[in-house]
Amino acid sequence: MRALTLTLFVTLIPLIAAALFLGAALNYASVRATYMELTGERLGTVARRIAADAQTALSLGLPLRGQEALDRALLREGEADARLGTLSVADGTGRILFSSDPALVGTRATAPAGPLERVAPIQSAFGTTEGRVIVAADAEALDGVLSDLVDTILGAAWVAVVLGAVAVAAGLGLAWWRLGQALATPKTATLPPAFDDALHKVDAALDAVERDLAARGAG
Amino acid sequence: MRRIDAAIVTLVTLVLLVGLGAVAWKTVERAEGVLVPALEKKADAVALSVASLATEAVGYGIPVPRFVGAEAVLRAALDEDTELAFATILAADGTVTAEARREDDIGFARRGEADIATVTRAIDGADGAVGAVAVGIPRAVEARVLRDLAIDISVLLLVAILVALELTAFAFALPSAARLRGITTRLSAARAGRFDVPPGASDPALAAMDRAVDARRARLAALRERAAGDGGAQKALETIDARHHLSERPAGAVNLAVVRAPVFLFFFAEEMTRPFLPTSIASLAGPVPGLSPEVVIALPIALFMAIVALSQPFLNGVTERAGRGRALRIGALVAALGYGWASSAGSLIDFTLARCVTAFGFATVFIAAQGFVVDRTAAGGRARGIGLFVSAIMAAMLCGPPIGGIIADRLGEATAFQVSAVMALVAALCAFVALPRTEGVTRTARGTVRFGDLPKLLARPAMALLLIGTAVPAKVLLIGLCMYLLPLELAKSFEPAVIGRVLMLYGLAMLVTVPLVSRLSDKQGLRVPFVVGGGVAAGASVLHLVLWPEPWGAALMVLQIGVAQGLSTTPQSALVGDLGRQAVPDLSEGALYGIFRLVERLGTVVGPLLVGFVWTMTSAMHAAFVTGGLVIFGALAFFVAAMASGDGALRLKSAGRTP
Repeated sequence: MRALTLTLFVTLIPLIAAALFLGAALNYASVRATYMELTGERLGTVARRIAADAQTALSLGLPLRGQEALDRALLREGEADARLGTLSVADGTGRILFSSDPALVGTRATAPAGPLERVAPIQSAFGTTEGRVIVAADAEALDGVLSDLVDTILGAAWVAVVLGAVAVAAGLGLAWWRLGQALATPKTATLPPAFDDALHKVDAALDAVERDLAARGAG
Repeated sequence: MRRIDAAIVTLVTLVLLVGLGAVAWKTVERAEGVLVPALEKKADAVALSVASLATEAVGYGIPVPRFVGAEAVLRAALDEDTELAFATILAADGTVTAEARREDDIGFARRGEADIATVTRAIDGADGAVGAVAVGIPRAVEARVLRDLAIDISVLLLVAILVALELTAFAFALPSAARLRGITTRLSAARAGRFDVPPGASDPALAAMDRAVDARRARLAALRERAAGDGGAQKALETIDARHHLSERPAGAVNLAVVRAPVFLFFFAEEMTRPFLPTSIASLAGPVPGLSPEVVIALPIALFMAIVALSQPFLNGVTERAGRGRALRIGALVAALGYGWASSAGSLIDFTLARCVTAFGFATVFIAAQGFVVDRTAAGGRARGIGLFVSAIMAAMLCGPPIGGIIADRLGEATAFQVSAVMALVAALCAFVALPRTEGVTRTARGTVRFGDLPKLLARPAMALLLIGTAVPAKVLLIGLCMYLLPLELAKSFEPAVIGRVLMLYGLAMLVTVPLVSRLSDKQGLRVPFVVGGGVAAGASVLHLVLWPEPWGAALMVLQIGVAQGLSTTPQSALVGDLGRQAVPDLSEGALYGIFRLVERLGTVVGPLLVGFVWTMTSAMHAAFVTGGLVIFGALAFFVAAMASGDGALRLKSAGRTP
């Protein structure tokens, strides 16, 4: 029975640990997804706002390349929110004309600049796309916000696993102790009491038949 | 024993409930500190956007109270972001000049001011602020996070409990539990006044109990001899025997439960991939000249199924020679390698090769596990043994898709494949612990599948239509529609977690329906009505796709297919046995069912290709209806052939026997 208890413990503890850590991972992933969604919506709003400013200037006849005010607007927006990584304006061919990161000016906007990026098109009054605004989140800032959450959830999961293991060990120990009480092995008694009781009922029934047979003189 | 099982599973359930609840509570508590500022920032971005527009208008000389169309701008902001409660424009003295409020939403109307975070941005004029824009957003972070978490955690809990049940049963099936199993079986029987328990091998405690019962048996036999000619005493002794089952001494049963956990865990690994497999393929698939994207996506699925189907006859002999336990372990390890490879595959070719490796492992495990059961059961107990095997697969079909969907959704498809690899490794470990390393089983007479027997079987129209008209279309519907088309179509609007919950309904329906129907169809002899009714109901299930909005239409369709195939599966197998024995009397039962499974599995190969082809030519909805129509047509054609044959086994109500 000791081997069975050990087998159950070795089987159930990894299961409990896996379920709790998977639960913790899902908890984290759910909050992260919500946070990313909220941040993404914010980036989208910022991108659309800058694009709207650029479109207004376009409608007044100012070409995108000549909208020097966009440089200041991008810097201002970037400074207003520490979670924003880079804000850029690209022309129709994808070449970056203005950016909060001067190193990006003149390069091509191809791959996403961070873990989260939103793009808003800049359209002329005739409906043609003249360029786009690209707003990317700052990966380090996002990780910084979420790292405390990881520590909290992971800590809670570890505590739950340890307490769960203790509870299962205690439960298994109690179960075997009670089973040991219920089952008397050959060392302590002949048969388990419940089994013995059932046999006594058979004996009693057979005794009655035997008495009947003896009374009638059979055998 | 059952009480101990139940107590352990209850304990594990409680530990998981409390543990997962505590982790969720800490998450929600901590999430507030992360999400409330993010919510306010989002509202701030909207406020700033509207304020900059208003500032521009003020720059053109329009005073704040005279803005035209301001409410339309605010309403558009609310429409764009459904989480905002209100947006207002205030003049310099604080009076509201324009306002949009989400009052149609009862939840927002009921909320107090304290529950709503208000963010304000100034409207600048030449001499400073001339007004402000205020945007309100409810601080409903807890509700938002809990809503997302509740379903995930419930599914995880359900799956963990089912896995705990399987593993507990597995632990009790191991040789180390033989003594406890023997004692508790004897005690449970004795409490009911019965003593018809198989002998307890060499364990001293069990032997002591068996000796005590043997003594009563001997006494009963002696009294019977003494009572010869005494009707009253004989009747009394018969009553005692009937009451306590003393004379009955069943032979020691072979412990088949040890193979159940490895099978469950292994199929769990494969079922986990169902909700996201087609989209995974789609993400890697590039244009292939002459093939539509739908057919390209269907090819790796069809190839997997073809390997599983065609290797079946060959693997039966291989796994028998290698030893079923060893073959199962090797198969699980090979499949684990395939899952690991699939998780890192960077091209469609790479991914397809990885799936081929998994398919070989999958086929080996399937055949080895089935062979393990068949090798150790006589014809009489085989149905029960196979039932144990099949119910493990159904339980895996219930658990795998939802958890696979959640993992793919939250942690990525590569992680989900890696978890499948780990599950396959755990299945191999269970097989290593529980299944014999060297096998010395007595072979029961079984035939091998000979393709030459197929024409003889198909020569009878009813048999041909049973196989090609009902068994093949059933698999076309399951794999082509449920496992290929549905995940791809649903993925356009829903996450893999939702797709997984839809697909789990098939396993749930089968798990409930099959045991009920197998008893009923045998008792009532209703095999033909069950097969035909099940086929028509399965085919008609595609109507749900046009009757209900997604994902409800898909969910009801999968549920109905599960119930309908649950109705037809067991009677269909029984009819194959009945008709096959008549068509080719010298064909062994093993060979007959081998051919049946082979033909049936061809449906799994054809399914994705057929659906993909029709989809390319028409549309996804047409492909679903063509598949449903095919299933109905096949079932009705079989019905006509069955009625026309005049065969006793095919009467509407026949007295068949269980295969």
